Amino acid sequence: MDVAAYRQQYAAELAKANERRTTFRQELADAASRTRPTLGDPMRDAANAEDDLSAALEILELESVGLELRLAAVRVIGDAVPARPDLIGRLIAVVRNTDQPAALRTEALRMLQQASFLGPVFAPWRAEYFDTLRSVVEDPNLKLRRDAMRVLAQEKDEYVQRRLFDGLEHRRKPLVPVAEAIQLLAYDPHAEYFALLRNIAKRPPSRAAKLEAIRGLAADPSAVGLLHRIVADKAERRDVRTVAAVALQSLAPADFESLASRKILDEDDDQRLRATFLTALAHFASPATHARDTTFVDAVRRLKRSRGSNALKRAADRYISELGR
Amino acid sequence: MPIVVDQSTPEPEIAAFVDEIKRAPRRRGELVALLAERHPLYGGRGANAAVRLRGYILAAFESTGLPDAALPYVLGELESSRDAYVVAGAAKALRGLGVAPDAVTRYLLKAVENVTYVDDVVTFDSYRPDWPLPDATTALAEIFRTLSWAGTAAASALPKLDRMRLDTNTFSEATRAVIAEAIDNIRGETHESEAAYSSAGCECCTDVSVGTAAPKVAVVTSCDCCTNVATGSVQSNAAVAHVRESIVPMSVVFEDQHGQRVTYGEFFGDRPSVATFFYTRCNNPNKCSLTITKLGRLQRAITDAGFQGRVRTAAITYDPAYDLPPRLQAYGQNRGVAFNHDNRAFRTTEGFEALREYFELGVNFGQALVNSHRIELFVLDSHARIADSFTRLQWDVAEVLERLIAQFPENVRRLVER
Repeated sequence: MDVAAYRQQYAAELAKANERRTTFRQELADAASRTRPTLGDPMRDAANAEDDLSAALEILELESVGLELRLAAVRVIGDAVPARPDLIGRLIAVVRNTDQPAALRTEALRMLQQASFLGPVFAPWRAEYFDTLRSVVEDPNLKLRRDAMRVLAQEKDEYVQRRLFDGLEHRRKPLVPVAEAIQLLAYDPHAEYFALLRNIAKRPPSRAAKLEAIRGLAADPSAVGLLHRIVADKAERRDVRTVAAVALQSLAPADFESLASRKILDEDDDQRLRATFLTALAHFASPATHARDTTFVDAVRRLKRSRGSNALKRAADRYISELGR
Repeated sequence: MPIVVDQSTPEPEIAAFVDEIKRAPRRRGELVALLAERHPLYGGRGANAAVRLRGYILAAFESTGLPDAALPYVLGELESSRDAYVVAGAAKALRGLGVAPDAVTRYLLKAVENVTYVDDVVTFDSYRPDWPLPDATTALAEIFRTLSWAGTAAASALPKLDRMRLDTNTFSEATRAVIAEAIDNIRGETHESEAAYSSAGCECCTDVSVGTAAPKVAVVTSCDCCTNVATGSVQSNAAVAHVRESIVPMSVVFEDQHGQRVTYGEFFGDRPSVATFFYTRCNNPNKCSLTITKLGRLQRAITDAGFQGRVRTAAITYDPAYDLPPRLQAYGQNRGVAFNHDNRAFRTTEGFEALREYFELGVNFGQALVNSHRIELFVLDSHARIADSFTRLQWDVAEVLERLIAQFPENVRRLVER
């Protein structure tokens, strides 16, 4: 393919698409035409604005204008931020305004998240942005709360971690379900929630919470024993054992390889799990080390011809070919 | 009577203790003791809790006065921290000095650089507040307020401040207003109207009356019984000769980046060496990542100076259970460190506590991870004993090399350098 020609073709397609695209003002005009004309109609006035951004700013906080148009206005403002960083302040004001519909505030937050990727341009607003995020951590709207908490958690924010711990340790009403709280805390291994995770892994309030707790323990070297027991436990669910195996492999690769090798040859164990372990050894174990264990290698060769599942046979095949490289 | 605080003391109780000291400034020395990363206070806590405690303690010095012994901690945070809360606390702490030493300007400007893109709203009016905050500041605002407080001592910052005042792309309107105020104050165009700070000197012989600082008033800050002068030049990270009486941990066992095992005595015991500490899960690029990058530069400087093969370097992890050999190798190689017989990255397989004790490591641990640590590098003599240490502030490659080479007898140095 000729790159230059492709670029030209793509640019032409974009230009055509832009021509067909309705401007925001056009959307306003169309919406206004479907209503009875009145004097000083803000929608009609905005439709005649100089540009889409001006129109969007005019109708952004007008309750008389339908929500869909106001959401579109938020997006127009968000798209204009790179050229007009001052608009970040308008978006922040929408998020903070609890009188505005939750959907509008959520969309404004989404635009702010987009703007935060602008790096230096966003710098003057960062403190206010984070202040705003924390102020909606207790918002009645779950989606808004979740979106704000996710951003804060990704930034390893102290306040959101504290609130999540308060919920998990029953000091305050939880802001999100247990599994989600663990996921959010997992953005920061320094959050030091491992004792809590071990408790949840042993006495989980839900299946999802158990999985997340075990996944989180991949950052805790002292959890090797617990993870080993979970992987070895045939009575445990396959998905739980798999997640524990991934964590164990990260923390203690040698321990995982030794355990996985035994499980692979255990004909009473789950076949899909055995296949998963064999695949893991094929890709991550040291071929030189394994090649020396001729007993194991011969046993895996026999798996290829066994009456085991196709997945197990394929995994055995892959393992043997990796050894041969 | 100082209370005993340790890892079991709930954070609100520690905060209450700090508040108590703020009301009784003569006791501020008790807060200094709490700043050391190895203090039991930080054990078992998460990193954010450690940051919160340190920031709150540092901020308290604004009202109690800043003892000289606390100054290295303050400067270390300004120089290297990227956490808005602790940087704000450190900036406030500096205002607890009677008069600003000239050298603090460099640290304050470095702090601006560190937090410009991670600035945040903070408060020290209460510990662990809920949002929304009734009254808040930001790290940048506190840094610029401290530059303002420094007055003419911060004159060298004026060109940069003038540019920052006009930089609408990087600084908010509120921050630029604080910058403008700082510029005016430094130029002496405005005057603080609050009461002057009467003294922030040694607690053994001066009364401390607390007020807001007005640095144009010179105050007495030294006395015969004190060894440092608050108004004197700030001690940069010069090598500090350190004689340790404790037993050298010769039998500590290391595993290197290739899985090879060697003892402390075997690796360090027959030639001068450098040992620095780090861990791969450190999330402050100004600390471990930069330390290891500089270690690579030091290795090259050693080669350029002709001492390759005559000295050794080692990067030792604080996190031996997690930093397995492949992680050690990847971390070092990604930062330009060369690995060979004389230059290695280590984790301890046994004896970390002995190492921690001997080096008096400035580190503490939560349930599973490091929760706070200082920058630390040690020059060892040819008997594996600590000869010099560079701690807390960023160390200079040339200075470390000089101290390392100084471990050789003069005739050897001359022979190599010829």
